[in-house]
Amino acid sequence: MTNVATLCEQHCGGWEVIASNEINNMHILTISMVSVDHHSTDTEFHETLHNEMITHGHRKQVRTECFTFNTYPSDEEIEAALIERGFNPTISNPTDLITFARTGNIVIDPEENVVQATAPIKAVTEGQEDSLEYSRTLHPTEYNELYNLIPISLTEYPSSLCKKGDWIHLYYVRENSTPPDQFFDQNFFLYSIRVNINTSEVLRKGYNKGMDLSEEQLALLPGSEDLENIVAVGHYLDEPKTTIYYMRSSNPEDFVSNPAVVEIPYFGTTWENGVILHTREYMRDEIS
Amino acid sequence: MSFGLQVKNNDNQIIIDSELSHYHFLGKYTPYTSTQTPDLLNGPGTVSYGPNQNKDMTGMPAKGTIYKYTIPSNGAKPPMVFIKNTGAGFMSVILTNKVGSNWDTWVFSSTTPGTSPTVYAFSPRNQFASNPSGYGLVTYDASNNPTFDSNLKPLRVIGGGNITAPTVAHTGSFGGRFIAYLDVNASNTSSSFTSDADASDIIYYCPSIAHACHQYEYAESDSGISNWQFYQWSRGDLWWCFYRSGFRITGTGSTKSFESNYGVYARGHVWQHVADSSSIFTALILGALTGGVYFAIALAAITATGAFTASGVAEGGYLPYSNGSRNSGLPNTYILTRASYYD
Repeated sequence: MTNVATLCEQHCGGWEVIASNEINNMHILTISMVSVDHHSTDTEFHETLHNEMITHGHRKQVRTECFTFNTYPSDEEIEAALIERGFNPTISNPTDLITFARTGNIVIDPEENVVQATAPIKAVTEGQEDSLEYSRTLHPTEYNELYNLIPISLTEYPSSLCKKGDWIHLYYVRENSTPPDQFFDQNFFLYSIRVNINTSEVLRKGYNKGMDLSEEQLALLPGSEDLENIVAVGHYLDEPKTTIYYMRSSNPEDFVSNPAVVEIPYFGTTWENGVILHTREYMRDEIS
Repeated sequence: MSFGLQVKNNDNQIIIDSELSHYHFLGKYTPYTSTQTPDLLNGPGTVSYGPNQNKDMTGMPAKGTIYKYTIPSNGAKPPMVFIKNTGAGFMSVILTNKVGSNWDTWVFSSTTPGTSPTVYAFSPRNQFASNPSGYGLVTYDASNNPTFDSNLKPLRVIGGGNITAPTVAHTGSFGGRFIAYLDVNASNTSSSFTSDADASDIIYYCPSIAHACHQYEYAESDSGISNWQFYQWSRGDLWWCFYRSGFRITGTGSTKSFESNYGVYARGHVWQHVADSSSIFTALILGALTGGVYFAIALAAITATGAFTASGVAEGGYLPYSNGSRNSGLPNTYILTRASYYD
């Protein structure tokens, strides 16, 4: 038996009897079980993860429930009951429910604190009205308003939504970039579809980081040879269109790490049948 | 006995005694209302990081129903309220409270609102609101209170016994991550008796004395690095159910069972969820220019916030007690009669 509070501080797994009652000759024990991610067990390894900014987590789960015994149990009997109930002090396969993408938007406030702002992503297109992309987690009110306009049934919630004219754009940012199988059977880094509010027509687009077009494909996109610092490419699956996303400049302040988060503004130029259709600038809106 | 009347049978047992206050059939009653205990549900809504699932009562067992009756028995002696329970649920009297010239009586059913049970009430003769007309025999005690009236149907007891309640309401796992399993799955306790009457005709008087409570707690937290961001979140939940014991009669043939188990009387779910994130990508760029000092400071500032070290649900009186029962081992006396005697 170990102390849960200590376990929590030390990121170790274990269990502790929180309370016990004897009722009708039965022993009712309330036991807390602590499971932790194995990443935290090796200090040197853990430091390496942080120093090299390798994606990892320190997940911890504490489950407290009740066990009934005929006699007051030994530690061995308790552990057998815990195992039977599915307890494992090590989280061997952490369930990742984190939604990072599109919830970035990090700013440094006047006191130089690093904080998260909630401004939506804004797409600015010359000659068109600006459009705002609302995250399901950051802007639930606006998100739900747009969600209610979608004329088709969805099997899962998109990560964010945006309305451009008669089209609702649905963006899917998913763990390990697995495709939303209602619409896609190909793998991309990010996914989007747009749905016409009036006709329910669905058009798909997949995004890959970096440049994945061949020289032959690029040759069909006049002007693309002048672009530098390519961030990503958008592939329209149902239309003869392609978008190339690129940084505003080669200056360090314009370096884009993750196009999904849009902490650093960047451009996107779209070609249709080899003709430039439009160039958009993506950024976070000024409001927060 | 220096005065009054005693009537005895052939075995010299007293059948009528003017000094004893006999319980007579007062009437059949249907509830004036039914209700369920409101849920205790509280916690923050959607948070940017960490699981946002089940911030409601998803997975929690359905609550039972409280049926409320007004029994017009005007006096200090509580009426005996028999329940005609024809369903599969467990029912019991959980409150008998004098209000003015009536007794407010609550019957708890382990099932969700549906067909309300009919109750058969018995009361001392002197607490009846009106005197029945007719002829026959009425006895009075030394204070001139009527104690027996042949114009009214007496309480005819056909059986009775004692029964205990299950030690706990739920056995086995209490939940999986953010879903609680707090339904009643304990085996029924039972007490057998012999009666040739159909089980649906037998009504019982058995106020509930046992109750149980269970809680399931789950907390999960995470911090780390992903997509060039340092993140941290923590969520802690507490689900609970408070149960009251109830009863039912089952069986065919001459052997019947008087059974007891619990129903969900009240339930709740409270939680806390906090989260934050900070980009270390910007810091990384600056760190490359300044030798990593900025990065170290930024990361230290984030991790030193301390906001996530104790994010569980604050302690409080959310439920009467945790994981146990009260009075479950005490013999709960039940008295039986037949509805058809009074229909």
